[in-house]
Amino acid sequence: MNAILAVLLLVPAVRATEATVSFDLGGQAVMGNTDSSKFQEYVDVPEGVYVDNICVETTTGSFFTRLSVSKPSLKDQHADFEFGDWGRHRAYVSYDETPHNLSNTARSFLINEGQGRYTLPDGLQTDIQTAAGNAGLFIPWSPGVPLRVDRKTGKIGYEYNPAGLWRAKMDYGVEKRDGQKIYGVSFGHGQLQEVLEPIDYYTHTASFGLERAGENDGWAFRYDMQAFENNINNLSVDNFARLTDSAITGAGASSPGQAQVALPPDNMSHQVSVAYTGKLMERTRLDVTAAYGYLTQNAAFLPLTSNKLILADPRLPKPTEGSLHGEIETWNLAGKWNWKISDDLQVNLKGRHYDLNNRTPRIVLAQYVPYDGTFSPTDPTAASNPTRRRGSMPLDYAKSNLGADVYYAISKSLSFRTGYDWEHYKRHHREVADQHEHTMSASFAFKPSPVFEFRPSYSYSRRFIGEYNHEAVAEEMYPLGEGTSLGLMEEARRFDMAARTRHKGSVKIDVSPTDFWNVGVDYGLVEDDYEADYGVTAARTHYYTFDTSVGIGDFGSVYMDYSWEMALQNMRNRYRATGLDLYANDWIGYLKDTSQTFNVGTNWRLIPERLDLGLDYSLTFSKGRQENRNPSKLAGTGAQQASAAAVNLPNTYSRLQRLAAALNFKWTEHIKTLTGYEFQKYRETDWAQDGLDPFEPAWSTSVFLGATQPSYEAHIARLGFSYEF
Amino acid sequence: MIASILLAAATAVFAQDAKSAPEFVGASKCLECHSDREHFKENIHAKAWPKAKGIEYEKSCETCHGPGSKHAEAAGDRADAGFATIKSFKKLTAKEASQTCLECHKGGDRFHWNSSVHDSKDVSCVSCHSMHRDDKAEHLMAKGSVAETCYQCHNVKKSQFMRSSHMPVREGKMTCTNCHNPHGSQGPTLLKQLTVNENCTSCHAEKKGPFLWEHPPVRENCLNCHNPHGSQHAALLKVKRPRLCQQCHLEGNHPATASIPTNLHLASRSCTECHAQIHGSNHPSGVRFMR
Repeated sequence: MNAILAVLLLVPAVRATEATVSFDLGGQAVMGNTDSSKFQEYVDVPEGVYVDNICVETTTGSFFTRLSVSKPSLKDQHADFEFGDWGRHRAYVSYDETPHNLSNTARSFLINEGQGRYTLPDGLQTDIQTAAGNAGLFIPWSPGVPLRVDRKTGKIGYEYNPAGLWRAKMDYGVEKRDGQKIYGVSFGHGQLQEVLEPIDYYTHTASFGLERAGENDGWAFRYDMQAFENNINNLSVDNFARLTDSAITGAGASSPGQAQVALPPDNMSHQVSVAYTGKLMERTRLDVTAAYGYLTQNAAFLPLTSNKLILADPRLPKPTEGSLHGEIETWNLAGKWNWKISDDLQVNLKGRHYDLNNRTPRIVLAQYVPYDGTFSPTDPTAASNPTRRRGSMPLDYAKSNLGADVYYAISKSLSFRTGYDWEHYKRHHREVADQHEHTMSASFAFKPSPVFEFRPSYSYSRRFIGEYNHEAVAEEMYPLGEGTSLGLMEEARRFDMAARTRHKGSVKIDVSPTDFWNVGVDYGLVEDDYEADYGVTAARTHYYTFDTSVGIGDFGSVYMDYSWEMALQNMRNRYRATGLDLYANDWIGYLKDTSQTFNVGTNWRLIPERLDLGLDYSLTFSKGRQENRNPSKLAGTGAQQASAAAVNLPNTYSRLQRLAAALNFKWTEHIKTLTGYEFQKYRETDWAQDGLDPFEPAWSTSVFLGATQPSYEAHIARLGFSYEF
Repeated sequence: MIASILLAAATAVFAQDAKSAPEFVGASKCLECHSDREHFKENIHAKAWPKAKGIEYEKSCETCHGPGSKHAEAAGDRADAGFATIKSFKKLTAKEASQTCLECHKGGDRFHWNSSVHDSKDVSCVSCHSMHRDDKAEHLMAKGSVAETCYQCHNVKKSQFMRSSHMPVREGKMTCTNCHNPHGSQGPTLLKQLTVNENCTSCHAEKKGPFLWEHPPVRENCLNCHNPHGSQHAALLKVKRPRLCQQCHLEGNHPATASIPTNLHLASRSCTECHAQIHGSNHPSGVRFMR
């Protein structure tokens, strides 16, 4: 590969009339407390000498080549190579690596045997099973395991413009994702075991496009394919508290020695689309697209359980199907018609229909085996034993939109737009089959002079729903009933299907008092009021931003921006137990998330063409609040009241500060030194994960990985050298 | 007689027009004053035009700005009527400015530009692209990078990318145009794909399914639970678990339990600790998304 690249680069370079080579390399020192995975979450911060960037470009007449490599050999390296003939051919190859560092604090005794099989030493399982207190003696000594998933993507493509109006392009890409991440397995209600999920994914993509873009019209054809391949189809993990499956009880229970879960199955999708745009008549333009997609998934099902004793029991009905035969078709038909009645008056009509048609057959399974630990030894189809029968729901929906808007330029400095949109959902297998939303909107653009711009906008939406059948899902998923568990509350509404009133507004102001000074202010609000007694009853998000920049001739600039955003949600819920489904056990949640970001910086040309200085500081602060209360005096037993009692959950906080300084000195036309310093400080407080150890005495039947992303503080000093010839 | 007078008058007017019509002077002449545009030679337009369009470098300035003889003759004197004969993009309407670019750039990503969201809000090509930049500027973006250019108007998104859970945009491993086509699309919010889910699963293909057990809000819209630009909660979630799940799940027993922080159901990833296959399960016993 390297030899081919060298030939491709060097041959034209030798004959080239023009060649440019540049590279940046340098040394870097990192100090501080940088153990947290947050520090290098998506990047590799190297220490010592490294190459930051290499770029080689050649031009021979109209033939060009370009190779650009950044951070070679590091975990976030990227490379592009392209060559071609200006305006006619272009071929390219690219390669990218992006790490995702999930946690550096995870610890586990699990041993990866390959192919998704994670085991524990038999002695450890036996010892932990022997005495209740043994888990606390062994688990805290679990060794560290990295949690990370790396993406490696390669792509090759070619574009051809045989003539001015025509363009053809094709590409193929493959992405490999590997690593391991956190996964939760339960071996029974209350026995949780955090384990490692192996990631070994390949995703292949290919596309082909052909288009003609003429003076007055154009059309385009496109085909896309994506094939997802998971090399590990299941995760099988030992139960830390049991070496083997226990004998089946009369009720059909067996404590499992291991658990097995299905990992994402392979799938394949194809999509073809055709688009047309053109002037049909004088002053009108039509833009239409039709697309068809096809998605399949037919990976073999795993057995109902990995519990060997239950699996061998002849009373366990076997699934009738070996795989899903999953098929989804999608249709998208969209059109937009623009009528420019005059330079000042325009009308737009638009429509769209998207249909996701799930042709996957419905499968009804006579039994399922929760936790790999229980099954029903009696006739599962009997009315007295309905809780084991489950039916799948091939979810589908169709979404239609129609809309019109009118644009009118009242004067050269003032324009107005008003519109109406209608949206309709048609669903299967959900609580609401029919849903309509009407939206009316208006916006102004006022620009009395090049230095001032004011853009307010407002829209009002009402969502109406047909019948809300709160048992719709249960009736299909549990064909014989759900057993003793209470189903969804009749008064509850799921927020995506509840009738709703929405107010949405925004204001943008942009002022440029001088050529070198700009100020922008932006405010936005979305307020939802749901017609729901339970579930989300109201939500509101609003934000404002302020930014300003000042340019001081060719010498420097100063910039600053600040943003504030708050998301509020009100919800109402109820602790429900059989025989205790009472208003008295309602609880109300008030959720409030606030985030602020402040950024200030400056760039200076201290010595023209010689010395540049850049400084940048940013601070992001987020706070999450969850207040909860019971509106009434609680009912039930002491234990039930304890479950129904709503208390405020602790606040969560995160704060990121970054300070960066760069000083670049240009020694000659070709040589530059780059000096930089960066300070990063991250603090996070999250009660749900802070201090979570593999063994927690309060939850002694569970095991965790202790995977956190704790705070960090880093000082990074760089000295670089840039050469260009 | 009248016809003769009119003819003579018309001839005189046209002769005057012909005399005053500006002519092409060439890039060298332009650079005599606009020396700060010297690096245009390194610009993709200057490199590609000779072959792609048959436009030699000398003609490059006036290809977009129109013939410049009168402008040049004015020699910087704004009071001279000839000064304004050059096509200045600052003085054009958004549509006029874009139309100049669309003369060549009709197809590709711009296929759906006409009456797209940005077009209809008077955003023009030059709002985001700076045509004179040298070739090192990514897509000739006005602010040096795609994201910084988008933040000019979408400043709140910049803040969202700074939050603890975020797409790797601030690290430079992704950018806005990985998901959006700012030039127009047939999808919602200028997404490159037709739906939100098609957009998300173009990278997260493992979540495409179809699964034996599907989670309804997942099949319909990833944004029911996630904020794609960034969140203060893990995994880009809109609301911290378990409250996120409890907004819909009011079934009996533990789904609707208010819970105190010391409850196992709230530890670590809360509901999704056990219901780990929340995007869908293909296991015959995975009806509760636990297998």
